[in-house]
Amino acid sequence: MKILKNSKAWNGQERRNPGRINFFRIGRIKKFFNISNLRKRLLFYFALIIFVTFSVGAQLLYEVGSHRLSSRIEASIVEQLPKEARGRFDIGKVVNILKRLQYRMILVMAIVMICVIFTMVVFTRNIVEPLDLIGKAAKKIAEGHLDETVLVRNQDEIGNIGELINDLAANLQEILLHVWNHTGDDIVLLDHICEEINAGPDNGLSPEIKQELAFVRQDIEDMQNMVRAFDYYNISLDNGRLITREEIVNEEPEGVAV
Amino acid sequence: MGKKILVVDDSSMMRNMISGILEGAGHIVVGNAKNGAEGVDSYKSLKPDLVTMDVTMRVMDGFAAAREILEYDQDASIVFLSNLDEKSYKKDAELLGGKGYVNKHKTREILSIIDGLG
Repeated sequence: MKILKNSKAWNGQERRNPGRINFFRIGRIKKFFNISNLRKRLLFYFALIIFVTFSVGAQLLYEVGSHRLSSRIEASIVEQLPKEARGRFDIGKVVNILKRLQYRMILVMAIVMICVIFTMVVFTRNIVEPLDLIGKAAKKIAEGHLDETVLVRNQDEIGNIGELINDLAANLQEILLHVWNHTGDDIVLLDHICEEINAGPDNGLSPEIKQELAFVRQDIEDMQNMVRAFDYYNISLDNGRLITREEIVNEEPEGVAV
Repeated sequence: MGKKILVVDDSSMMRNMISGILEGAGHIVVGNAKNGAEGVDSYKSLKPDLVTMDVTMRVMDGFAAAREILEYDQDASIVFLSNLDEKSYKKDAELLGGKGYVNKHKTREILSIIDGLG
């Protein structure tokens, strides 16, 4: 908790310090390139769609705007006209129609481009980003940070996965704290039993039994050490007691350095 | 006669366990909630005789939820169930207006508290 407090203060200083701006820019660039594989794959697919659309569109635009096409059209029409009407044929009108067709194709391509980018942004925001967050939270929970929480924004399938991960973390926390409380009671009982036996008239048990009791106590302590290895949601193991983290913050003096 | 009980806990495993103990003793679990905010809403809609309330929960903790429920209904019966140190938090639970505080590793004790409420 001390580290948390001081890291907050440190971040605040950094934000106020203009000399650190370059550092943040580099961090942002690094963050941009450090994107998930899912997002990279998505960007690649959408880039491919845009590339194919533009390649086909550019080819069509080139063909429609080329002199060769207008010449072919002219030749084809003139061939079908009677000889006396051929002199009156105006290719300019055909060229104008082709130009209008070109403009429309450019407009359609721009609309397609906007639609593809819009779809990519929506897809990224609604599917890829939540999946990334769930992946990161699940990784932290798997590493023993049960204080990690998936923030569920939507009640859809992805939101359900987030809730299930939170539930898994909560269940694991309950099991481990259950073990902590029971083993804590067991150690107290075991120590009491040993004290009673040792205080007995003939100092009670054989060395083998005493050693076995010591092994049992060691096993219980090992279980407690395993429970200590996890971070818990809003709970800290404080000298055998389970207390909320707020209580630790209230007990600590403000502004203590690490 | 069994009481109508609302179980509020962020762990589905604990909700099932508590529900099993309560139903085994003849009580009726009318609803479950996985955080304090859901618990407050469920209390208002289900009007149970008693609420078992976890203390440490995401979104809204048990003490905050109990405060809201007691503001809404001063006669609400709330029993806190938690892994937190009983010596440290039992008094807080009583000051808040809770009818009892049970450590989760002794969950069965909740039955005697419910019996004591009459």
